[in-house]
Amino acid sequence: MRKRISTYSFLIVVGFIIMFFTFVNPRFLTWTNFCTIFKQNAILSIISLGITIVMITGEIDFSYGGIVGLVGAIFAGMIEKNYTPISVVFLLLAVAVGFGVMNGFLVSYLRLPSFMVTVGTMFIAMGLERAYSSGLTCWIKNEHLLVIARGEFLGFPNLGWFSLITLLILVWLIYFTRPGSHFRSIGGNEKAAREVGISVTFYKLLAFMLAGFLYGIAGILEPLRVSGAIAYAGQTYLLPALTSVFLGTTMFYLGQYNIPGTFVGAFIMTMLMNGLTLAGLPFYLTPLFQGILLVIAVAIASDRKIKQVKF
Amino acid sequence: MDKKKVVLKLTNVVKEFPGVKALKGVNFDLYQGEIHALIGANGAGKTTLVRIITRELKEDSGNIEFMNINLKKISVKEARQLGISMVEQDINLIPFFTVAENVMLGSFPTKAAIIDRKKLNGLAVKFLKKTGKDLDVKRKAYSLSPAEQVFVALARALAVNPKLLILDEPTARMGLSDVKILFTTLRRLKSEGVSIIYISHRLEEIYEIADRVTILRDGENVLTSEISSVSANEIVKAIIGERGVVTFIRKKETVLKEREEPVLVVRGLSGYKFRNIKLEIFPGEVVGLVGMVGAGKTELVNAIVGREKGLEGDVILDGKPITSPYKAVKFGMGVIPEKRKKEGIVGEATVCENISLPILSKIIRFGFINFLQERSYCKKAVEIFNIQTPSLTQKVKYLSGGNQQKVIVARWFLAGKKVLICDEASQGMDVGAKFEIYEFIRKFAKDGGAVLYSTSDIPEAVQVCDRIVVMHRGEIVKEYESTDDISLDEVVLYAMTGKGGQINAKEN
Repeated sequence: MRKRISTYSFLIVVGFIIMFFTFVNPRFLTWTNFCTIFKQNAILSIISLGITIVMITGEIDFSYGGIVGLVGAIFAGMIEKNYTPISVVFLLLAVAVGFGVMNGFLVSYLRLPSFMVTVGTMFIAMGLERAYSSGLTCWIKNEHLLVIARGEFLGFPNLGWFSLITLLILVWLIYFTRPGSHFRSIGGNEKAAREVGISVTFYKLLAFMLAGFLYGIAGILEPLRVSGAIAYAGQTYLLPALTSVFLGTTMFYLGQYNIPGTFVGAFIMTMLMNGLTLAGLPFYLTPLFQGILLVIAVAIASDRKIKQVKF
Repeated sequence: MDKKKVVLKLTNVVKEFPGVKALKGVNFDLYQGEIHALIGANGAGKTTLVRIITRELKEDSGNIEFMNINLKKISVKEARQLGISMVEQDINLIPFFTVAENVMLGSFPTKAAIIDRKKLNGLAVKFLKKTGKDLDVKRKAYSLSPAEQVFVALARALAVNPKLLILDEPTARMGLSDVKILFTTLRRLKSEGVSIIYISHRLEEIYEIADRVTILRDGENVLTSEISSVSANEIVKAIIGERGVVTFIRKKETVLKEREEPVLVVRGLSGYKFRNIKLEIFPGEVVGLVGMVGAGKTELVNAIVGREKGLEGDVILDGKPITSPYKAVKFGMGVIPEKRKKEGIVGEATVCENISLPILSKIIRFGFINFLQERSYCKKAVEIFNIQTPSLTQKVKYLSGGNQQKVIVARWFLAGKKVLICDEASQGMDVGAKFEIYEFIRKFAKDGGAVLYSTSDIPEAVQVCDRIVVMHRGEIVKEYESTDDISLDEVVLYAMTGKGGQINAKEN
């Protein structure tokens, strides 16, 4: 019974939030605004889904805070210097995956704590970004490219499609394939996974690589969305992405990091921010609300009854 | 008996850990289709031995052959593929996975790159059926009872079609009906030609299920025999060995049984692993709490020191109820915990800081610790307790186990506590250090303190304690008012079976 209450309590709260925002500003509950939320939400959800893969294996990854910005800065810079977009994309995805390999190697092969390692690699990526861009904003003027992020397909924003496709692929990968089950086994009980012969080190490395790949995609989409690489864009995702992941643990698979939960969590985050903006909340209060949301999400997720199932 | 085929042969296997020789040249062989019980006291080397067979540990020297394959260069994974499978004592399941997923862990069947749930559940049902236990494979593992968990782990072990199955205390958390199911299954597996190594502390079970028995003591194989040709008393003797001869001579004159008022009273305490425990401990005596691993001693001690709440009953120290470790210490209790490194010492702190922990409030002046006073106090402690340390400022984690333990003893001893609770206080120490600990404990009692001495080392308890209570499956099954003319064999028998007297070998 308690479990059931927890599952739906959050969605009920969300229902009230939607009603409240609609009451304050009727424009909130329109198809146009729905599309806007999806546009705003896409990059956040792709990043959060990346983190979720790592967290499902029982580790944590903060490096997105640097990688997204680094990839975005180099992308904008190279496009403006007229390199072929497709080769730039491949190069940057390789860079992002390379960061994932580095994280994975340090964490799973050298057994360093992922928390500190990935904070470290986040700053490494940030430093490289700073070296590349000198902290300046680099605008993208190539309209053909910008349309990727701004266009629509079947009346729904492209960015929205990007995030939905990522979601579908990951749901398939994590919940319907054998490697996915290995990820979940390792996060569920590392010793058990090792006992039955799952290569814990390899799959952790793989998780960090996949996450890196997604940060790379997000890093490329971000400057396209805002038509330029704004300095340290990655950092603005630090708090919201983490919050989305924790919000996700209150849905679908209670107390566990999970893919659909993260997606909905990111959506709720964006919706809340969108609603507060429409309601006239000054932008500088955003972190305050995000912080409160994170603490609430963590509190629900660490409910002893849900989380600490002991053997 | 017909000539049997040897499937596993260990010759002269030696394994050393820093400071301990866990296996001192063990020979062991296992026939095809037999159930071979492996018994021995704590630290006798059982776990080390089976971990070497499953290849989780590598031997230092010696030879291991499994079905004529030398295991020297075989990894854990390859050993599994060869058909060596184990059900661990601490069962590792994934709480949020279903029973089926746990059974088939790591080898989910797939169809077109998608996990085939139907086949997965079908296979799990098949392997669970082999265990003889009926379980819904769609249940989540966190809803399973401890006994059900064992069967899930067994199903997982059977999923690789093992030729050698190792079970480490599978019945420790089982009721009698489940034990029956398990034994029926084991007999069937045996008839199918599976060889089984069965680790247990329960003699009655071993007589019921095993064909042969091997007893390890201090890293040596002291007895291997057909179970039908060895009596319970012989087994008990082999387990405790020559140490039955008193090595530590208790100074009897110290025992003053001034039975005025008990200082520690446990009234009808019940918890998840123990039921209706009654204990009274008087000043000036050492009371032994003995029992095998899994008898519920640790859980009982945790409840007595206030770390865990019992379900029913009270613990009264000096007339005041204990409800938390904070209160326990405040009312005059000192605790020597089983997990010394985790719960006893503060490894990163110095010898001096560790010793002075409970008296800090007494030596604080104007909000500052009086370091001079602390130093002289600790210096005295190090001398009295003969703690081998290069200096008072040495970090405790660098001391040997025995000296770490002395630091803990010194801490409580000098803090003027009334009651000392010891849980496996001499575990993992060399003989010299053990005797020193015994002496301090006797001295503590002589000075009017009361000691509850919990141990699974029964000869030790008989030597150190004035009185002994024996626990078996969560209940006190026997109390000895004096340890003077005690029969060691009888105590061990009570601890292993819950009953005294002779065990009928053929009894079911």
